[in-house]
Amino acid sequence: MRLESRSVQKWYFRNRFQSNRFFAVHGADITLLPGRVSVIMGRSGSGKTTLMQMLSGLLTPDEGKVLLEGEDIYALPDEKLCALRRTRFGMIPQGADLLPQLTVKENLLLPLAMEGREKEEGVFKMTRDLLERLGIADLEDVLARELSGGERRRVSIIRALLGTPDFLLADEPTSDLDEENVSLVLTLLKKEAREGRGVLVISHDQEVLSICDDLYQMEAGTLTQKEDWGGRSLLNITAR
Amino acid sequence: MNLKKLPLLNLKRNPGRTLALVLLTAVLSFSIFGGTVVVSSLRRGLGSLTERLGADIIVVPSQAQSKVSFQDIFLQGTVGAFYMSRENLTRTLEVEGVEKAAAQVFLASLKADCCSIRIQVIGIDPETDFVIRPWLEKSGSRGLKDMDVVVGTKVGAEVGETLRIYEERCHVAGKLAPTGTGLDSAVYCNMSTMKKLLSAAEAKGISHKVSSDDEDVVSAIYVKVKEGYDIGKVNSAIQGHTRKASAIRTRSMITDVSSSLLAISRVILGLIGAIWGMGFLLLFLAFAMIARERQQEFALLRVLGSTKKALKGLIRKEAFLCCLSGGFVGIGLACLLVFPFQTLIEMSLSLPYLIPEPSGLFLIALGALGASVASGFASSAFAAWRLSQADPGRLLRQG
Repeated sequence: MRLESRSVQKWYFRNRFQSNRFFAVHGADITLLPGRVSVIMGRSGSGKTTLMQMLSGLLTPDEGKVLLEGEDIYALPDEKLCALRRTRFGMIPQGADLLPQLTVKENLLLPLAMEGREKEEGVFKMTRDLLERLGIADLEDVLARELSGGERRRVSIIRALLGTPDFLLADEPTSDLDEENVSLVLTLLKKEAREGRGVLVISHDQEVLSICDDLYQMEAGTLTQKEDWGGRSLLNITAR
Repeated sequence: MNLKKLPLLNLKRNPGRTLALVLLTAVLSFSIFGGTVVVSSLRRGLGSLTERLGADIIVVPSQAQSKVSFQDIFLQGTVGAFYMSRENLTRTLEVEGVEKAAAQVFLASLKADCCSIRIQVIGIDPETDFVIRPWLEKSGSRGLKDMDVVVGTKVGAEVGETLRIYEERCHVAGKLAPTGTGLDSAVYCNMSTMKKLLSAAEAKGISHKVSSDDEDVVSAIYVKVKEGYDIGKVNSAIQGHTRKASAIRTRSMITDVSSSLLAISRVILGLIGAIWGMGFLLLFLAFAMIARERQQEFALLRVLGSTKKALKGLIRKEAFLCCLSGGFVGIGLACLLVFPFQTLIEMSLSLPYLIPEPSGLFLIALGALGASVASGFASSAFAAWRLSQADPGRLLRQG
């Protein structure tokens, strides 16, 4: 089981005449493997989120391929690609992460409801456990629009975990969180990797390096793997 | 959490937005239902008028043209009376081409102690009448005994009650079905009762005599022309053969009403069109703006694995629920205006006005609901298409 990108490129035009092309992602290769936490670091606007969106089947690359177990996911029809997102990928997006008009519980169960799995055995217990673990058990019936940034982030993480996906793709999962919660979330992500999931984390946060197995650096759309990374030192990493 | 409930939850938890959409659709259904009911009532009124006239020519005293005209009594229920000699009935029957002729006698009651209400009394001869009798029979009124009256639907008296007209007590023997014309405000009796009432009125100083020695009078003569005869020529012949009388072709009366109806219908239909067009444009803009406001929400749904088809379905279902509720609200509001103010509408239009039967109203309501829902679907289609086509990654990046 592997999710990989092969020389994916994504470009945009900065003016309406479609000249002045700039590359958000320029020929990126990355492989996500079960049991491993991959971390992409890089400064804002370097293309990290764009790459993650391409890996999760949300943004069609202009060049290159995204392969899940050797199969190009963008060759799949919309229904199948959506089914992949529902069943194989757990997304923790940045920005609009929850539906504001739904309660925390409704938001959590939404992806499962799309699959008709919301009443499956164990879902209730797992939801309760995760809510308690991340310290938001009392917010179950609160509308998402009434939550703070950190609370929203934690709900969004639980939602991604509830679907028991093969790959967890987290965009800045520790932003808006205090030190204690950062530690809780990172432990949770590491645990998910130990249980056989492939985890990709995009972050500015140096703390994330504590759970990192494979480290990538993104700069101006170009992805570079830090080959010498073994969790030994932070000195080689330029995380601006 | 059930995904099928998502559209309902979206609407319920955004009451301001939902209310705006419901009200916009309500404007559409209000104009469609209200306008159609008014136009249908006018058309039905014209149909009823044509049916009730049932004659080709009506002969009335010449003075009726200047006094309270026959048309006013017939269309608007104006209370009045005019007389000519009964001799004109015999003279009319003598004209070649006349198949049958039936006389009516009018009497206006007073708003005084002698009378229960001010009302138009119409005396008919059940033996020869071919205009009112079929209507009486259709309404289940069997014959008219002496001192019995049958009342129009708008007369405030019920079967079994007694109406006092010039101190004479008349028994209400039946109530007629509505016609939408002035006839709904009249009461009907036989000629023998009418003679008694005329004498009683005479005693109160209301004279019906056309001359000192002519007490046998009529107010209108309804004429049916034989098949194959030219109605215009027969009309001229009657005009020449009768005295102090005018012969009116009923077609000209209907044509007048029909032209007014056509003009009013055009105005109402034009208004419906304009309101509908404006409402549709506003709905279109509202859906487009809401779609723009909610693009992050839809992008998130795509992130979570919602298909384009499911997203379109979600928008359509929300539009359907809003428009259906708006449709009901609009129809309800139109009902509150069209039915309680029916008499006011009728009076201001001065035309026969007969509200459709419940089955007809149901069909109009169904049509208005259908049109509202279809408008909602059509106006939200563009927003649904645009949202489903948008790249979720790009939308999330914009957030």
